[in-house]
Amino acid sequence: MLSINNLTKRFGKTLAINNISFNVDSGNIFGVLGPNGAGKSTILRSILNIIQPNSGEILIDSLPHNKFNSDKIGYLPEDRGLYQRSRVDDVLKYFGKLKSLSKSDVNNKIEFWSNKFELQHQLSKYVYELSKGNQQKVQFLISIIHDPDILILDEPFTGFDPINQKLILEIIKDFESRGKIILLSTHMLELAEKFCSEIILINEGEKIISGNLSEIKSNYNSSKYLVEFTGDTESLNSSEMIHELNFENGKLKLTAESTTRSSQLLNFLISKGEVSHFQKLEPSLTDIFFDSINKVKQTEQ
Amino acid sequence: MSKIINIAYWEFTERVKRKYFIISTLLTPLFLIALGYFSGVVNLSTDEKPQMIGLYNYSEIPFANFQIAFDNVQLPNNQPKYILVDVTKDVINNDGNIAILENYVESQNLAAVVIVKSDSINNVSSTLITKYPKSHNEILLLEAILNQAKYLSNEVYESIKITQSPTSEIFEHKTEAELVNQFYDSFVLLILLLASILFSGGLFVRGLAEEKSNRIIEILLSSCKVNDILLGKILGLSLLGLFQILIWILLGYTFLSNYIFINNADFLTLQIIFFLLGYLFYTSVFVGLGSLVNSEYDSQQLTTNISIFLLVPIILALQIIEYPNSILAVTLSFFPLTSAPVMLLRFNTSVIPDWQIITAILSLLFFTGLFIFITSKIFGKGLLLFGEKSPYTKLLKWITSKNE
Repeated sequence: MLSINNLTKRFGKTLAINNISFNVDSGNIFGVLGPNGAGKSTILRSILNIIQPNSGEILIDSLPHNKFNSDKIGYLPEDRGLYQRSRVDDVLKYFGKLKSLSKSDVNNKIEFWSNKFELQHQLSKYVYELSKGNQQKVQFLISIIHDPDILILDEPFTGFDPINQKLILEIIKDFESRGKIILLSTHMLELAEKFCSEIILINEGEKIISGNLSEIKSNYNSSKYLVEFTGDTESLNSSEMIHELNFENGKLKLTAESTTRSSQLLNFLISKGEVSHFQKLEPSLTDIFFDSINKVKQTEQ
Repeated sequence: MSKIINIAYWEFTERVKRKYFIISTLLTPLFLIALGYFSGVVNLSTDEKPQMIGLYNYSEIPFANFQIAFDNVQLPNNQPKYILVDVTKDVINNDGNIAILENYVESQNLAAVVIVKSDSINNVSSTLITKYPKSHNEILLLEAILNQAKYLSNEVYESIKITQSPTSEIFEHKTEAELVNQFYDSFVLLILLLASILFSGGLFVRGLAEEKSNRIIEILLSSCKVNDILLGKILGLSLLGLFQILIWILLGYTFLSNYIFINNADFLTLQIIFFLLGYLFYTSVFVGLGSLVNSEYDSQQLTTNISIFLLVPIILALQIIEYPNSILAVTLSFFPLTSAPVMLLRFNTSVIPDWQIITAILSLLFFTGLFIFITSKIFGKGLLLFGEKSPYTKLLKWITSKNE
């Protein structure tokens, strides 16, 4: 298990992350989510012992993180790059050996993964000769070549087309099914909510919300509805119960005021026309994120 | 340890394959050959005249043997380098008084008097009396001539060594040809050292800038300890320099042996020591400061800044060769940034007192150790600076901070 306790990091006068805590169990995909500049990469770099936090504690399997064997960790940095003037197979061998793989293990892994990523004909090329997508694949391959117990991925889907995003996702899911710890950061909240079982949402270094994603969603009081309605739509606009109203594919997507209950809204709609479909929408992570930030701002004011 | 070796191997193999390295390794000797050709042309064009050498022979070796040996040495213009005169009878009663012998040298318009004596068990000693002390190279040449004369006789003697008098150099009088020769001989090693430092150091810094700009350094830092990366890179860079030097030595022996190494054989070990110490010192400088660069532009600027210090010995080379024991030359020998190149210049031109050699070696060792210590303090922090324009202002803070 990976435990982050009260982690704080300052860069000069800037507070990058403030008192962040969470736990990640084996066999889980944990999302560190937030907008650009929220402090996601700072958390990941602290876990990787690349930067030193000002305070707090990071434990991996009850060991301080700097005592944990770095060969068991795989890392994909946010900003991608490789040795452009080196051969692809040389680069893979170098990083495989740095993770203490033997020569034969490295060669076997390279053969296996290059087939999986359809890179087998690219191995003897120089990195700069590869397309950007293939370079991204090589970089991802570097992070998993040693079959790490902990996989830390910083914005893993950036730069991949949908087909390769699917391939990456399958591999991440495979790691999850084999009981590995997977920690990924992304600002693509829609994508993250599809496969993260647990999350921490941060903004400007502060925790907004954290925990099991399903529980977070079920506890969140959504005020969005999808309605099939025929009747006086003009009168809906003027209602105090309805905050926002949009037509989407012939259906009404509306946001009710936070104090409005579902039954109140349904009765109101029936009084104005015919309702053939009424559905309370599950909140998206983006909704939760913006609502949570608004609440924080209101509290501060 | 295996990670250090992996990093060192990568640093070495990836740079040694680069076109820049291959071209620079081959072009440097070509430049030196061109310089040697120029030196030879100048040498031939100078109007060097034969020197009159007086021989005070108090040994069993016949004068005729000395005559043959001295006559074998010729100037580039095919004239004899030395005209040997037997002065044994003239100075037989002077009791070895140096001042009188010096006056004798001057009054007879001689370049020097060579005193050769043998004791009861036929050990031969030789003293060279000159008004102006001869260069180390010329002493070696004279010793070679005396030993050749010795072999011509049937007597068995130990190898003859010359003691020069006066031993303190008041003023070194050198001919233009001597200066050109010494300049070239000394310059070969100096240029090789500087080229080696700048080529491999420049390659290294550019590589580090690439690692930082594309964040490969983050993967390295997540895989190894900072000190493993530091040591691996220093080791790889040192191997790269040694490999380049080895190629140059092989090329030198093959094509330039007449110019470079024969005259310096006695000092080759010391020269190699200073060469390696100088290379190691500058390697630590490149690795430490290299961690602060962020771009190709930064790396070029850093290489330029370091090369300014390396230019000092080149600018002062002629003065150091002409006055190798001047205060300037001695001071620069102890200053770490100039020590190795200046000592390489001085070895060919003068007999350097042991204490100066030892002090210079200790100075280089101390400052190399100090710089590696400083480098270990700044390397890890410097690696994580992305895009900061003037991290140099933070150096003092990092150096004085405790390791985290």
